[in-house]
Amino acid sequence: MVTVEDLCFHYGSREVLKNVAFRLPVGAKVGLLGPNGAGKSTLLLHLNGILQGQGKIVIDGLTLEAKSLPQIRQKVGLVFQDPDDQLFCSSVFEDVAYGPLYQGLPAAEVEERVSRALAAVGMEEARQRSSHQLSGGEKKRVALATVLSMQPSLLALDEPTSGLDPRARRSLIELLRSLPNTMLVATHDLALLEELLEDALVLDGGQLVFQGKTADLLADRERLERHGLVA
Amino acid sequence: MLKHSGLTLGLSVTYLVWLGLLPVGDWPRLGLFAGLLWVVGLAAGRSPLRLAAKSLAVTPFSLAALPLVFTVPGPAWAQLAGHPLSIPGSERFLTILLRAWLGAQAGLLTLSLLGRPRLLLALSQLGLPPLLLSIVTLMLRYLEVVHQELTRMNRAREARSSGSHRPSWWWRAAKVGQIAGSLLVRSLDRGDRVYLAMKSRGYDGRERRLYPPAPPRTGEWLAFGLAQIGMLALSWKW
Repeated sequence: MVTVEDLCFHYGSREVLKNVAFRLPVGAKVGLLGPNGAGKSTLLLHLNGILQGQGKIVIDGLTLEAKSLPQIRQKVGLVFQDPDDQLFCSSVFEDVAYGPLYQGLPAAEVEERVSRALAAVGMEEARQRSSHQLSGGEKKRVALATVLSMQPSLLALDEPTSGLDPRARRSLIELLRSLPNTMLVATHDLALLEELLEDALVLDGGQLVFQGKTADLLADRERLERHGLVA
Repeated sequence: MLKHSGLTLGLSVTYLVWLGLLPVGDWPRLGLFAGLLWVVGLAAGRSPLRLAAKSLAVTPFSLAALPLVFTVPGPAWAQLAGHPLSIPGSERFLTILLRAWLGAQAGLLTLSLLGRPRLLLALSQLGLPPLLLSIVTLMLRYLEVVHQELTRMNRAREARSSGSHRPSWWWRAAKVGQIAGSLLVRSLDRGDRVYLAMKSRGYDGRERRLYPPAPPRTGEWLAFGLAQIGMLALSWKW
């Protein structure tokens, strides 16, 4: 369960998040929509404690604060939009092992988690490859494996389908559908929203302007246009 | 061949040291060192011709030593525009040129034998501090990304240029400078994002390793020692 209460955040004098509040039940797959600059990525960075604004964030009963940061980062797997930001080690194995290593797990368990995470995303054979040798779709899969190996309860994904060709996009959607984790997916991809995510949150100008069923949002053309979700 | 990455890199470094210690103008011994390198290359399945050709890329850098031909005092073997070309200066210049060429071949051979991940492992086995190793890893990892970004920026520049005139060298240099500036700013942005990605996966400022670097086995130490004795024998003035 994820609870966000009255979250506010400023970049200098610009208010990026204004009293954002929502709840994600365990196992929910929720889309986070909004025009560019609405505050979607900023909100995701808050869930992991990378940015800390005013308000309260509770993940699985654990309130986000300085002393709970290590546990929170273990619980929230944040996947960045550009996989080249996420894959910074010299091999796929090292990238996937990075999170468990920093959790202080013994070597044998790290190995096991890497194997399971790579198997979950269908990239076992890429274990010893360098990240720069992977295709765009493969990089996205490995980026996902880098957080799956931490066994998070919440996956916070920033634009997971951006830059993918139709086949890689389809394959990634199927992969996300197969994962049992709670998900909050920041996206502009309405087809992804319709196919994968039962619920939706819409941010506009830092404010949460909609939370409810995806079907209701997609049926409301006027609302979609008002918040720049369709042209 | 040595399987231990650290010893392989160590062997390459000591080859460079022995090569650097050879006396100026000692052509037979320089030839022996070149032969040794090519034999090792052949044994490892690398073509000496390709190694030699690729390593010619260092030649322009060695030209920095060209003034030695004019400045080192000694008997001249020819004149160029009224300036004497001294024999000891020319010997020094040629020795530097050959050492740089052979050194580049040794570097290329080592890189081709180890590959990027094993090169990093080798540095770790040779005792490079973990923080420095992380910096080298990040540099190598993002070299490719920066190269791709540079290629994209260059293409975008070319797509907007008219192509009807041949720009001057100076104009091109100015544009390359602008691109380098943009690339620096983009690299700083990426550096921030990579740091956030590291933090989000628990990075706490301390470097951690899954396994400590493995020490070499006795047989590998022996092979390393024998190689050192061989190079000493080659460079010894009998």
